Amino acid sequence: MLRVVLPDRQTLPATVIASDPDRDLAALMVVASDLPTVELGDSRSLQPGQWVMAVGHPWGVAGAVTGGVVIGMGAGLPEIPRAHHEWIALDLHMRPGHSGGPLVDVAGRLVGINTMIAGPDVGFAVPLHVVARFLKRALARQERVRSR
Amino acid sequence: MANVLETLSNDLAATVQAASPAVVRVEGRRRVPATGVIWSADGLIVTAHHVVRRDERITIGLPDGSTRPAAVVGRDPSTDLAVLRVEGGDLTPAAWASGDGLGVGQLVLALGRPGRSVQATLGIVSALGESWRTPAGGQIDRYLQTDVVMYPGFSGGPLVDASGQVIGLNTSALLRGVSVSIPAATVRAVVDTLLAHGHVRRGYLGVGAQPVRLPEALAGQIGQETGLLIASVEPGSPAESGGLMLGDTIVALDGHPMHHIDDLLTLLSGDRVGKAVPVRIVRGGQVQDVTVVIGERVWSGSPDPDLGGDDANTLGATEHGDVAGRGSGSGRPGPDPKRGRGLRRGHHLAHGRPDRHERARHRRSRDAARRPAGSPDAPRDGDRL
Repeated sequence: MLRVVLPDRQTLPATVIASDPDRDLAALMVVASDLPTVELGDSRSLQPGQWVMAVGHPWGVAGAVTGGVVIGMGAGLPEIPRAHHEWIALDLHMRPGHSGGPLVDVAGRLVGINTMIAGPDVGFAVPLHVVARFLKRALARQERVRSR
Repeated sequence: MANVLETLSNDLAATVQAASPAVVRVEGRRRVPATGVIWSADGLIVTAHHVVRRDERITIGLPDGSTRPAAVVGRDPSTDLAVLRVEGGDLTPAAWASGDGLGVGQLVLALGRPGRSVQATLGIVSALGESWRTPAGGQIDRYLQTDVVMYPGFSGGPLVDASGQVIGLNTSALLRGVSVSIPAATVRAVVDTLLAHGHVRRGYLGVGAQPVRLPEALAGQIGQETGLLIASVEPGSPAESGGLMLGDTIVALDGHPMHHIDDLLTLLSGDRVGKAVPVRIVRGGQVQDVTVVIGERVWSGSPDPDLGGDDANTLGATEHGDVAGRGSGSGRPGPDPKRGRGLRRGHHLAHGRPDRHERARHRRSRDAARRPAGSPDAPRDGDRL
């Protein structure tokens, strides 16, 4: 069964409400109230050279952070799979377990979801505006299902 | 509220933007375009030699999104530099800095433009050192190593300091596994030579040699303990024409004692091409002097480590060269083990590898086994001296 573990170690059962294998995104839903939410940043205004941080569970270590700079962003980045999609290329040291975690700017605002790595020093994230579009569609579908 | 991190982040991004007008895309090979730096407003571009596979029909992508045709003005494979000329002027040349104030630990950015927009990676100066010689024989004024990540397509791009000035040109082909930059002074010297002559001349002797200890009596007579034993002589080479033979031991060339391979490499400089120089050898226990007219080294091409990697979908497809990701089938660390590890004493420099046909055959079978369809192959230099 799919479970979500909160920072206070509370475990909640979760269900997948939408997924996009091509962009490597999934939306989960848990039944809870008063969950803290992340502040949103602006993924469209990211600049190469700008400092960002990735938070995740590399090798199972909870809440570990790695920092680095944005290499570049957009579609058509060289030498990555599914290059026709928009990605943020990152010069930081993500490891297995960072996938699905937040990419945040210097003020801690969410700008992307970490997705994959190309070698030890290069990572990729899905830009927030792409994630937002995906979530909007997922929630609209939920609404249609519920109203039937 | 602007905290320190926010200020740093904004400054880094501003530095990238400040330097980006002089950073161009160079389309001169298949698959991944590379990067170049605008040298002069009238259309000269400096880039890495190994990313420009052809001399004509090169396309330059300018920062404003426009493209212009370009052609090679000259190349120096020994320092992995090439100069291109684009049609039309009105370009923004890069601001070059001597790097005199550079120190280990200072922040630097590597810039690239393999696509439309500029890209950047951040690092620090890892090591600074004396002048050094590349495995291909090029003389570099200063050793400049950083820990910047060479993202695919960054070769030929600038290394910039915190003020956005260009302190060197990045290439992944000079040494593998580390990010080494060619300092501005070397770039300037090579560009000047290429503009004047079209190429950088290197001397050529045509021998494979290794250092050997001389017999004690001879060592005392000559006044040196080691010499260079000739292990092979290239047919038709200056060495053969001058009468050098397999088994001879070179003890001096043009009056300079020869102890190591590097002594010979140093002596085979461009200004000796065409000159008749005395070569002191030991043959059959006797010291003899012969005269050899130094030839000019002809380059046949060079490996392209950026394209020598695996399928783009696998890990390790980065420009800095994931050794584990390459060549595991043949047990070789890269496209060229000598280039990769540098010349060592005892290396045979003429017949150290199979001949052209055998190489091509080997390459075809290896490529078929481990490269995606359409991947270019990488012709290599002969390391003949």
